[in-house]
Amino acid sequence: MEKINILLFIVLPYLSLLVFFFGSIYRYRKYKYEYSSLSSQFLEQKSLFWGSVPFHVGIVLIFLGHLFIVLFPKEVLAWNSNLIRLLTLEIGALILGLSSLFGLTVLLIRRLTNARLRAVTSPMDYIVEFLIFAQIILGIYIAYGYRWGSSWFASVLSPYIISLFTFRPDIQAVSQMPWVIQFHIIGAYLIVLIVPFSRLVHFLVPPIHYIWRPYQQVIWNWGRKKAKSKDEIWTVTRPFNN
Amino acid sequence: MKIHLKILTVIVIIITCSGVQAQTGQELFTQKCSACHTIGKGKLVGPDLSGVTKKRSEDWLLKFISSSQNFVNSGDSEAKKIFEEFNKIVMPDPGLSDAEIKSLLAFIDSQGGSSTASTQVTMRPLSEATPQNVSRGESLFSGEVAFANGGGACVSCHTVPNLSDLGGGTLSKDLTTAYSRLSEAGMVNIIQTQPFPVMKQAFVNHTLTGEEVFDLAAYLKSVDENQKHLENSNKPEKFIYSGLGGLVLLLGAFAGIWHYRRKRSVNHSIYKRQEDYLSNNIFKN
Repeated sequence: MEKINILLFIVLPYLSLLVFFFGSIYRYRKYKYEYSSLSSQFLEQKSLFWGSVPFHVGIVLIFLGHLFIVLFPKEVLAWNSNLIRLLTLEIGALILGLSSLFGLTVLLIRRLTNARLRAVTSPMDYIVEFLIFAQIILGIYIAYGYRWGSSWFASVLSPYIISLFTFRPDIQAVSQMPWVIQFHIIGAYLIVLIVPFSRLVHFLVPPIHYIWRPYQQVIWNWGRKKAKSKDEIWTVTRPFNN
Repeated sequence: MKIHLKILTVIVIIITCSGVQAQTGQELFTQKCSACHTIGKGKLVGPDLSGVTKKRSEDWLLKFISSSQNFVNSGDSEAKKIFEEFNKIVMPDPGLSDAEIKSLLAFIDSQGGSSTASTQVTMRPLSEATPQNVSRGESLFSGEVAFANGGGACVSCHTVPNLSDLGGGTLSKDLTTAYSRLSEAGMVNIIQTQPFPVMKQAFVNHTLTGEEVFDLAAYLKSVDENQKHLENSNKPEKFIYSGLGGLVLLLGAFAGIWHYRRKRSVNHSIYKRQEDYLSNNIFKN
């Protein structure tokens, strides 16, 4: 049992991080133009909105929340010292978790039912989908079944994660956690492990500069309104882009 | 990639080896056992271990100590009896090798009647607790008053009745009946020494002061004694309902924020106009 725990909670995270670190750099240098999630917006875009937006908003904020607790456990415990604040944080996090579950379900149905999407889906896409789906289900189950996660994560798991990064791994506590939580942790390592081999690399190259780049103004020099007007017969004013 | 693999192997070997150090039986006993067991000083959370090496075979002890739960579940009737006698409190796996357990047993054996190796806490009896102690204990339990040396509040993982609508934590035991289950000495000892690995981790650099332990113990004792009068108002299903309600609001917000998103092809109006033109001019004539 001890050996399995060392394998899962010490060897696996180091292996995942090394593969993630070197693999992502290698892939960027070697296959720069495949460093994306290969957008399928052209193939289907109606249900994409209701999948992609709730999923990404939920998963990104939940990820940042986990990261924040690892980095600032004391601050989180201080915040949680008031029961109302604790409940606000927990319910907020649950809403985001449910949002990402809702989004991912829409995305999964979209991918399974649309023939154009199935044609461009690789086996790795299904592995990614399965892992993240399992991870979200486990996370929501933990949030409900093992309350209050934000507090015990800060006092028990933050020290474990920090012990990994300071090269003094301490798995006493994590190896005694309920198996649902252990699976959630292992799932996270597996997701980090497959990043360089999957579409997940897109989270390393998000087009954040879109938010603050100068906007572009498009000016049409021909009678755009006239060309689009229903009353205008198109044989008289020919539409340009047709 | 070969070089990376070598670096990885070296790191993994260093990490796995660095934690292993030989400890004597006495050190192991103090560190791993003494929070719940004495040698010749009576029952605590678990049984008195005096003379245990004569009562049981070494093989039996090895199995029980290395993983008591696996052993109990394997159907050993003696192990099961002990587990039930001591209120079904799970003895955590100490994570020791067979050799370490043997040195531990040798130490227990050598102590004969009684031993001084102990982290047992001596504290004034809880019957001396005042209502102030109880109310301070309640504030400490819920986190309203922070522990002097930091550390998460009890409510992170434990619950008692009458806490709030959604109740306390459910990672660990419900502490409503902790006092009667564990006895006064056992309960105080657990709060003070945190023998369970998860709890130990939470307080490893945040030792509780003697006064805090006393207040918490006094609070738990009063909860246990008054539990019939305390209304159990915990309604955890409210948590899920709040989440689902929030999800609906959030999806509504997405619909509002992106209301003006492009919902159809940019050429839609041009196609539409041609369709209209053709249907008006061909099918009518």
